[in-house]
Amino acid sequence: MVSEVSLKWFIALHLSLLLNSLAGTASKIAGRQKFLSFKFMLCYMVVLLITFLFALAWQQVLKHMSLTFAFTNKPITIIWGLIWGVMVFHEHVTIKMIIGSAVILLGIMIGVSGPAKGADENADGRGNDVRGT
Amino acid sequence: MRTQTEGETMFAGLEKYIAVWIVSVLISSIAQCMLKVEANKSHETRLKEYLNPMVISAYAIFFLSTFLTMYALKYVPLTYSPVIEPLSYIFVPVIGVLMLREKISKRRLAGMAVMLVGIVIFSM
Repeated sequence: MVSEVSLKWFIALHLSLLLNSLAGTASKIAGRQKFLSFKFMLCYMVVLLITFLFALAWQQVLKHMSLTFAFTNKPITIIWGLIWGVMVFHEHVTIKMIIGSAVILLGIMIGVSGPAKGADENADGRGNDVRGT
Repeated sequence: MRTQTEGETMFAGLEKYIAVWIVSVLISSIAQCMLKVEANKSHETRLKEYLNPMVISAYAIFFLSTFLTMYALKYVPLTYSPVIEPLSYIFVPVIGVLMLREKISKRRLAGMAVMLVGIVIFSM
């Protein structure tokens, strides 16, 4: 499947997915601050900024690969969530959580790897949804 | 969660916040389908494709969901995101069937079944 896409755009895709996964990290940091405090607003702005930058990047990346290819790679974001949880917040991870995540990832990839159609791609038909996954 | 008895030990004390997170994913899945409903219609101008009650409401819901997720993440570990965020891959097709009369492909159903197995393993 990778042969469909040049290495450059494959890396660009994954860098943008990596960026997008950081929205969850910023969101958690924001959630820990006092609501509407300066730190809260700052972290929340970062969440919105990441979401916005990802939306821009996603559209560029999609010019260079099929929607199906991009969608099949997109759920890797959930694994980043696991990694940031451990690295940034020192959260506890069990082997069952890792295996479970891998199976969920596989399930998503099976589901989206076929011809994409329907509500999963939103208004502009590019699947540029606001959530990370 | 399908594994009630075992799930309780893992998610103990966090049920309320996990529920908030799931609601956040659910409402943004609904918003996603609202965008699709409007995208299926034809509009007089490009501007009206964006500035109509359905699309504006959808974006308001997305905005609200960012706050709900943040509130939930205050207490729920980020490492739970692999099991909660992907629920959109189940919600969106199901809402698509209900709101848009879309069909769910066999491939997608198979994917959902595998996801559910993953959720059970994760929650054990």
